[in-house]
Amino acid sequence: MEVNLIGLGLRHPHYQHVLEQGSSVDWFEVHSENFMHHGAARRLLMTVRDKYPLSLHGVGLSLGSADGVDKEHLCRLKELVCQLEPFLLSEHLSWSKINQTYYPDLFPLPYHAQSLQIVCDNIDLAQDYLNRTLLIENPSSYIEYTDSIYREVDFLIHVAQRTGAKILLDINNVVVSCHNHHWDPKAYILAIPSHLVAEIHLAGHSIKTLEDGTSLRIDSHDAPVCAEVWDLYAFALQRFHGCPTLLEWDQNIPEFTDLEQEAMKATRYANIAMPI
Amino acid sequence: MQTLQCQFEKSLLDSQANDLAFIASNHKRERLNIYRQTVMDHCRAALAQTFPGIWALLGKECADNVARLFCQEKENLPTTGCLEDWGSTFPQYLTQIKALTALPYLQDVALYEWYKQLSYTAPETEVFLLQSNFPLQAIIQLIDNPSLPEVNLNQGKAWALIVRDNYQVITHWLSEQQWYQIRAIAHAG
Repeated sequence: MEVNLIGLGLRHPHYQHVLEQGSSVDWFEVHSENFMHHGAARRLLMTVRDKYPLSLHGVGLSLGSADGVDKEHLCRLKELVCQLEPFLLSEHLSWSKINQTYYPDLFPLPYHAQSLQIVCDNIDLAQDYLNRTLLIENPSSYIEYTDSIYREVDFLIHVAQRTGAKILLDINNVVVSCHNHHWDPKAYILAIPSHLVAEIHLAGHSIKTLEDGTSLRIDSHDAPVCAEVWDLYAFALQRFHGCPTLLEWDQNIPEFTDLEQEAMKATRYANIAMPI
Repeated sequence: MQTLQCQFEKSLLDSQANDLAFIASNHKRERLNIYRQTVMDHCRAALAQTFPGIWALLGKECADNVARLFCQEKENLPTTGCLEDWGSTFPQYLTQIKALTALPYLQDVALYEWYKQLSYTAPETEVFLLQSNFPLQAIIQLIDNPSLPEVNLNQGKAWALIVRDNYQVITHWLSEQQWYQIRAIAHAG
């Protein structure tokens, strides 16, 4: 199945529309954890899979957990991957599990030698077990750790180079984290070797104003992609031309046709971008 | 790393935690609170999706509050990376809240919704059986259609068989005799 550039994060309210009326986007991405059961949702997804290329995006593997990857979760993911044969399989540079408690969020990692070893060991184990190359997404984050010694982007590059994983570059996350930590977004993009990036994400975010008048950007996926993210996307495309691009929208989800139009804006950028 | 992640978790669960030296950024509390809020929002949204009848009966504000109390206890938090697995203890938890003791049927409504969730995520061959000392069918109908007359809680018990047909979860309201017959068959199988 041919995979072109522009994809959309497919969420539950839009399945019926897509199956009945089709879509002008080239492919869809879903969260792996929403389809781990053999129930109605999996069955519905199989019908989408018959018509469109599909990517699986995980939020629960917790590749940064010091106590290792959950084998049961990995086993469920493998079963899903074997049935759906997604053209991309991605996860996050984050952690969410400690002992037997799973927090439904993506917590940031400290960036130092020990955490690098833990993440690489967990990715090695996951890739070996799944027999697939993982794409690892740069996180959006609100804190930096005292004992970090690497820049996030350098840590991510080390992870990719040591494990053979690829990078899922979330442009919105770059904008969010760079604002929250006073990093330079263009320097972040320029640091990444172009051959490492295999997918790009776009999304909307919100802004939280603090008491002293400063602000934090929140990766809320509840709004259109802002101009700053589109601009950085255009900049990134000069480096990562031809990468499949996906639009995510997870809260206050609009009508499918509005979502589709937002995703198709990326086509314009992709068509005018020239590699440098 | 294990120590740091334990410290992060401890600070996440205790909004009054003072030892935030592991965070280099300014506005430590506000920043950590974004994670705390996101965890709570995702848990609450998952419960509201699984137990829509509880949200309808209690109203959003009250139900959100119950969800918040539920999630403040670490033993109630998810134990797998798949949120659809989570929620089995929520019906029982509802009976522990003193402010809800006047609504003794809540647990059964929640159990009914939990079984619907299980049915939705299970293979079609699985069936779920529920009996209630309350007129659950009438309560569910009232949730779906609030313009119906009030339910007399003494009007009888309910016996239900919950199955999935293709993409749809279906409830068959049974007589007591039918329910026990099916249960006997299910146990024999």
